[in-house]
Amino acid sequence: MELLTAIGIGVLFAAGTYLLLSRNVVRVVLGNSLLAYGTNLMLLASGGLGRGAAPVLVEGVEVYTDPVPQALILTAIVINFGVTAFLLVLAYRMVQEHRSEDLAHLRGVDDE
Amino acid sequence: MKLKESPVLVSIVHLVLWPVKLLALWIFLRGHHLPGGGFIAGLVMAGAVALLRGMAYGYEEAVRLLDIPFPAVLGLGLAVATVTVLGPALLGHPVMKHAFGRLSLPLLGEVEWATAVLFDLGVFVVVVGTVKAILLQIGAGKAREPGRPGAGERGAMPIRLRR
Amino acid sequence: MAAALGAIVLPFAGAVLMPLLYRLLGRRLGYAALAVAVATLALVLSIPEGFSGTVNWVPQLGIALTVQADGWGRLLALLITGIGTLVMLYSILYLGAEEDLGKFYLYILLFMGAMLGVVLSGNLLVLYVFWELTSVASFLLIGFWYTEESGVYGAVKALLITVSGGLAMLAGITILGSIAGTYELTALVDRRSEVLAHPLSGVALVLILLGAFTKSAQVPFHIWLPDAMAAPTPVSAYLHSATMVKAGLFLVARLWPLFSPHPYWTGLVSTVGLATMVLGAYLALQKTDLKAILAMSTVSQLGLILSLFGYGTAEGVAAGILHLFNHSTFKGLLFMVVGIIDHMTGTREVTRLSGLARAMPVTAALAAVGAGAMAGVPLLSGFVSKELFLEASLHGPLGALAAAVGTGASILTTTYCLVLAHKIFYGPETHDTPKHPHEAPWPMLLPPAVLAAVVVAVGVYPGLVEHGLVAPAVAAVLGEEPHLHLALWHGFTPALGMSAVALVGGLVAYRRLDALAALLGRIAGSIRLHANAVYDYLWWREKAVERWARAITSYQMTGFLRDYLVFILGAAVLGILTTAWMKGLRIGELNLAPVEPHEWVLMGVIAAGALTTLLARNRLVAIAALGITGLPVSLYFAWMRAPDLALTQLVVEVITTVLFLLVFAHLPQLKVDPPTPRYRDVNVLVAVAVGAVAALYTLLAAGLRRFPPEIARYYLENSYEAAGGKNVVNVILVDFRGWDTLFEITVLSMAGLAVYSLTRLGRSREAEEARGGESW
Repeated sequence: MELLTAIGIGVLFAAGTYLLLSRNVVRVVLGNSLLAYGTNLMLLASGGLGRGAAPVLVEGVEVYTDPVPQALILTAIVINFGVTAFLLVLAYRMVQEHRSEDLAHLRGVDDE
Repeated sequence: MKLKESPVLVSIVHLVLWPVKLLALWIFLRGHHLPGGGFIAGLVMAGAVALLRGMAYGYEEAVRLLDIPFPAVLGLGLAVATVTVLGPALLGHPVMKHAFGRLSLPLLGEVEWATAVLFDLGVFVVVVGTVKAILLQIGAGKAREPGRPGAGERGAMPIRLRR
Repeated sequence: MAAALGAIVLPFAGAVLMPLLYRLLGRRLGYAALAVAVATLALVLSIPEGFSGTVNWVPQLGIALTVQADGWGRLLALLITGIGTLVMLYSILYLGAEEDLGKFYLYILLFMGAMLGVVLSGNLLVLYVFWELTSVASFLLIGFWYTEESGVYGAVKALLITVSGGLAMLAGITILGSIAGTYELTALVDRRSEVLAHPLSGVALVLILLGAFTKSAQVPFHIWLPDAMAAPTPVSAYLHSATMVKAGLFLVARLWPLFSPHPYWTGLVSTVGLATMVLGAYLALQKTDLKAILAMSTVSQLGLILSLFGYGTAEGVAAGILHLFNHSTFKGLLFMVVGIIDHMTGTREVTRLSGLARAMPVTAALAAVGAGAMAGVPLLSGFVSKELFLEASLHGPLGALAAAVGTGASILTTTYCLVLAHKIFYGPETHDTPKHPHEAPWPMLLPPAVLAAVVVAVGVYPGLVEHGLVAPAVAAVLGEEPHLHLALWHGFTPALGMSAVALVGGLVAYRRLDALAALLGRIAGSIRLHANAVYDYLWWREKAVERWARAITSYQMTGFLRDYLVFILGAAVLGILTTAWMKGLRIGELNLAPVEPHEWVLMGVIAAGALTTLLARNRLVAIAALGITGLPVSLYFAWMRAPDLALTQLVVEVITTVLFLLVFAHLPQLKVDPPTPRYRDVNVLVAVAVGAVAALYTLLAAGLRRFPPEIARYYLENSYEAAGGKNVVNVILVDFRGWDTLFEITVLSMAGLAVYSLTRLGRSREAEEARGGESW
């Protein structure tokens, strides 16, 4: 299971990175989301996969999964939502203002 | 999402809206002991309400209907959370000290209470405010599509390109 | 403590006041600066001998303002304030009313304070700070006439060279500090054996010496000193002969107790010193500008003193310290004399000056005293220390070789001293000068006269400075009482013979100066590589460093997001792989859980969704694919016993997808230029590398110890008892780690506000335009 998860995470990271490197601003935002999935899965996997019950205390259950990565991921999901929304609006405004979604056109002006 | 002001849709949205809000409240309250809590409840609440209203009335209209100052909502949520964090210090406890216990109420019988829920309430309010602000603002912004006068014809801001 | 700290602070305080006082006093500002200098001199004199005290400054970094006024520091402090006082007096007449005196005295007092900080500091880091401050003051003073190109050139050159050396020195000091665990000089000396045994001590030594060599204008860094002569002559006399260039020597002697047994010590210090001594003397003979001659002779003399510290013998240290004192006095004197000549005749060219003695007899006498001392004429101070130099060289580790080199250089020294004292003052009177020469007014002659008196007094009776000044300084460096025997007559020693050879040989060479000059010119013509050419190539004419920096910068700083990411991600990949490799991380025993069919399905959908997002030509398809990728992630969370995550992910997924659609569904699909193959190849490479490293990292993490189990256990055990909640994840968020959550929702609020204002900004501008407002 760990191996399969690792491969899945690798695919998510590779696809996310490739999108992130794109010149198209929409693809950059999409890539960011894929990277977020990969990161969250990675955090979860590093906490150990599928051992014990969900960390909600129940009488008689002794072994639980590690709640710490879950708390981290929960935070990460919500923050990433905020960031994605911000990026989206930024990209949207960029397209509106410059009539271009090509990041290569957005370079600064040389100082000379 | 161009379904604007269809009477059927408006009625359905009205019907659905309140159960959804109750659902969010339920998710929020059970969060202390069972899966749920401020984050999820806030997301459900804001997402559902904003999307449903946006669908029913169109986003610009929804923004006008829901004319609440978002920054103030965010401030309120943050204030609630901060007070629960710093409040114990005023009472001589360590910062962030939460209290909990059980309480007998006349009608409901034995009820648990925890001040941590107050903090979670702050989280809830912030999430609701943020998500609603984002959804409605983006939705309303979307209404100004290029092609409409004033938006599409506008010349692009000059960008100086590299050699 | 008050006197020592006061001596450092007072010049700074005075410096700040100078521009203000300038408005009040105008031309007479020099007297105020003079008063500051005199008061500082008095404070230095009132520091008790061997005083040391500490004021904590940055205790976290081990930086304390330790004042260490031992004999060595006091000797330098006395030179700085004593010669400083004379220079202030001299500058009052030297500088015309048209100069910006407020700035001049601001800079020069700034220098005085910084220099006192260097010599009185007992902490290497504090010393370094003051050290660099002297470089800054020197920069400002060399560039005092900043409208002249020579001033700008000299100032920049001096700054670049000395500050580069200073940076090397800082690195060396830091290494030293991390070896010994302290920056305090006395503590460092206490841990000498520990420091010397450390393999990095050699690196630290070389780096620190680089700082000292650049500051004291040693080969090949001597090139800044002649160009520093663009400064007003009082500055040259003060900074670039008497004090600042001594800072490097001062530091070398300060570190003598620590490093002198180091195997590199003599090889580095004495060799560089002797080479500098010869080269400086040789170059001095090629110059025709009086100040340039003095600059090169300063380089030569600094080399002489440095070589003495390098021998690692008590004799060498004593000779070095005495000669440092003597050099400061006679060279300060000579610079003042040259300043007078320049002032009175309007030129400093040797070829245009002749027979000045008739018009300027006092100046001629002063020049004779100064030059005589430098050449080592008996009954003048230089004779005593030069004897000691030759003797210490002979007895030192380099033996006869050093003595022979020293004698050879001394012959050249005598020759150019005769140029200074004889050629321009005697012979036929010249009428070629821009101004008609006449004797300087007495206030201008007074400062050099005072120095001349010191030179003569020390020359006649060396005991004058032996007990009060030199012996304590030598004792402070050696850490033990020295056996000094300063005297005019030591009997017929080899050193006396060598002194005689140097004097007579110089005289003979001077008689045949033209032939000598021709010979030196031929040598000069055959040399291909000049340090100056290297400097000009790097920093000035070709500005190679600037071009390289620009090339590197424009290579990385393209203003294009993708290029930055390639660098960042590439570095991250390499960093993680290197760390894993260096730490010998292996994918440990994987207690692999069996893979069940639906897990295959989940991961398959995730991978397919990710690849569809990647490959989709249509934007809507890509957005939909992203949503499809998110759903199995949510299911995966549920399957991995994380119900909160599953719920949250699900809701966020829906909302995010709607957001994407809202924002982009209705924008026109704009075309992006197709990527070049190379561009795409690099992207593929980086993406695959990142993916591979992420997978590897996951496996490594799974094989290693996971999150420390104690943390999880603590939360699980205390969640209900201490916080009254059974949903441990929720309890962590709202209670155990509530602070983090508070900041998290703050960040979330900021994102919301940013979206809010960005969209409203667009709207209000549009409304304005619709009303016919101006677009920006």
